[in-house]
Amino acid sequence: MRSIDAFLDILGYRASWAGIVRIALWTVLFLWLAGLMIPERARQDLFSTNVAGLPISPMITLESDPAFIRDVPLPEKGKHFRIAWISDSSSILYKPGAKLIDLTKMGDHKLLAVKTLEALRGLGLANAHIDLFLRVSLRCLETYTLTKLALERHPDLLIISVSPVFIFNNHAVFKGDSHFAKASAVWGKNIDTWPWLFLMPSPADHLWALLTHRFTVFSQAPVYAEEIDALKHDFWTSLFPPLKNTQNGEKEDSMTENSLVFWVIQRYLKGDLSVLLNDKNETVNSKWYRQVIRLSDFGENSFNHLIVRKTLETLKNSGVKAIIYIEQASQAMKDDPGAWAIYQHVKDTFRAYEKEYGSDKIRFIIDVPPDVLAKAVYVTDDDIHFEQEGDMDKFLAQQIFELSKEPEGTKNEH
Amino acid sequence: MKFNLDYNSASFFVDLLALTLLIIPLLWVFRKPLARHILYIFSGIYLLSFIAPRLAVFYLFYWLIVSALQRAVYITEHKAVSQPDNLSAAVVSRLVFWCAIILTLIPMLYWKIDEWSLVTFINLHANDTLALLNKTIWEIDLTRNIYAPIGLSFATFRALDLIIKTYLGLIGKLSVDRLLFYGFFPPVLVVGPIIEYEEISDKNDHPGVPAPDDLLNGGFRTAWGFFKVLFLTSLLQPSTMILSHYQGQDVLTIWIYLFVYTWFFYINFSGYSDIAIGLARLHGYKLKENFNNPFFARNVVEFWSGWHISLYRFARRNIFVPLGGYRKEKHIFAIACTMVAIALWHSLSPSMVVYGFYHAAGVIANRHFSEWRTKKGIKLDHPLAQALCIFVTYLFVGFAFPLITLPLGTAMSFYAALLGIT
Repeated sequence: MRSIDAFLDILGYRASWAGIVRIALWTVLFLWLAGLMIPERARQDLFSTNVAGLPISPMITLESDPAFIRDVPLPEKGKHFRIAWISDSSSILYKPGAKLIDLTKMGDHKLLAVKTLEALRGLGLANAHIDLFLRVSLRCLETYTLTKLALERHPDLLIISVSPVFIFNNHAVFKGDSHFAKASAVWGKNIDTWPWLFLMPSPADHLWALLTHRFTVFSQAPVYAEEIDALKHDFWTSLFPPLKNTQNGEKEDSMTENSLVFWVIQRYLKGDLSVLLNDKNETVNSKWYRQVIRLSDFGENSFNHLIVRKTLETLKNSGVKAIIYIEQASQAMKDDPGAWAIYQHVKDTFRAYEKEYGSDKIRFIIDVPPDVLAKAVYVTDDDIHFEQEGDMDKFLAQQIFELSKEPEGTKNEH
Repeated sequence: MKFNLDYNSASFFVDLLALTLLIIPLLWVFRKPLARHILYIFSGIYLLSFIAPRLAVFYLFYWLIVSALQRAVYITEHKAVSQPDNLSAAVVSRLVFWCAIILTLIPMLYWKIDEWSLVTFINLHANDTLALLNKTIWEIDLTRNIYAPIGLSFATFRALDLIIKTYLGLIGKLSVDRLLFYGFFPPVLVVGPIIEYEEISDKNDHPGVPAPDDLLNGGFRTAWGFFKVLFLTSLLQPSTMILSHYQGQDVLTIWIYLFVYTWFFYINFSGYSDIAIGLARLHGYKLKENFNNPFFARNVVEFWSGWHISLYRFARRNIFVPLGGYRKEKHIFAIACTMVAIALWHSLSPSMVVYGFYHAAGVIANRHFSEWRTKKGIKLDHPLAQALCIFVTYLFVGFAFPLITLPLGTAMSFYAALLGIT
């Protein structure tokens, strides 16, 4: 291709501004026509099997799909009590012995939302429908983006679960590769979030947002990714002999892309990883979370505070009923008084928020009665994730039910 | 705990392509060199910040130091030239020059010798610096992956080239904006090529804005590069499996996979060069070529004239020539040093030392063969002879590819499997 100049010389073609404009127009036309030829397909989600047959719509696409929200029809207003539920991995009820955050096996687990829906039916709220915005490793900024997206569907009630470990953790304001942290289209709608457009989404993210909005060929590309990969695989196997399944020498150590691990180990543990390990040299989740919660920044000018405030302001201005509940850590966390104290500080901070933003329609659940979690079982060596939720589902259902009886209003007042 | 330090350069180029759509119209506004330089410096820093802001901090420090060194070299060299009888001025000039060379090289050498140590140092300290500058950007930086200093090998050789040319009096004192413009010129930030300052300087009546020709050619070249990097290489990607799964495979399969792997490697690397050259052209800059059909070379020297040309050009000019490569008595020594330096630029590893000597042997053998042929009056003009030369050269070059990726012990084991030695 180095001879494009020479090639065009042979053709006698001389580029002109009109020619450039013509090429651009033809490109746009071609992309539009290509989009017409591609059958549109539904986007995939991790939790479809967990909620099959239930009035629950998983809203979030696979992590690899930059569309990040599925195009799910709105349940009819009035016929359904529409709940939008934003949560992270703590509302997954893990199968005993299962490996946490194994995205290929999410279908094996139960969901707190499903159990709560069942409990709601028991209370007589039979027409509840849940838009489920569930994603593992949800951080502060992603929660804000999801709140904005959830509110665009005008729910009757919004539930936001807050991870005490991550909500004020200024080393993990968002996941670096998360599409929710690059939500050009969402943030572009509000002038106060415009500065974020220059900080988090890269120029390519903006271009992608623009192209996917305008051209089916781009928006559908991730949906067809698996098939394209299969075609490439077929191409390869049709030409070349397959390799026998042998691996030379020892398998390489698995590698992480989680920068938080780096900061914790290098900056706070001074390279001494052993603090986080058990006798078998495996990372212990509870030790990890107790270390991570120590990175909370309660300063009013921290980015997290700014985002939490924006989230609460958004809720307040929307007039939508909301429940904000702090995920309840296991009492085992008390073994580490330092971590437990920070956990309490997180709660105290939300108590202050409650005074500022709490109302008849915005309910904060900062503590739950002890009997609610008396029968709860946490994942082994884990302070945050449940195997069994105890009566948390019934408790949440009761809160939702009570709030559903509150009269509608235009603005939340306190 | 190991960290994945890999970075997909395609992301950077997609970012640059998107930013290019904004920058090009702005070039008509920023017509003056200073304004244009500032636009590109900010663009480069902005793009690096999307990999991780700490990388931008690191490179800003690096290029500011290079700027100071370039000035020091210029001033002392200028004094030495203007005072030919002043021996101490010449000594100082030479001393400053070598200090500048060593200081410029230190980060890259440190990286090649002890990668993790440098990665930890840069990531921690550049992040600390951000904490002093802006809290929010510091918090954003904390969410980005941990990276090696992406593009440092290319940056180091660009800086060295600048300092050597300054010492030789080929480049004058550069203002900070010109130097940072060279340092942060976006198309070459992550995977080269190792451009020379003259390629983007304001000499040659650079109009400052692209012409329609530039947009057309740059657009095609960029599209072709993306096609190679995103499509063709993904088709050939399975060939890389042979490097970790050669045991137990039959010899023919290993050869077939190695053959495809060489093409995968070439298409991937040259694809990135195409994108860099194409994007630079979109901005109105004509960079020199970095590849010229290397797999159709008729001998090893021709191969190196067509493979990673910018590196070869740098090594020839700054290692081969100064070592007296054009003198018969030093020819072999100069070739060996040049080829080993080219190899070690990739990584300081035993396998790359072997790679360097292997290619040096090839270049020397080719020279002797050419001399012998000339003496005997043997010509290789027949198409079949030419094809045979191409085949033998390709075989020679392709055979060494596993050395680039594998540690020496594993590479030897691979060759045993390749040759059917059990």
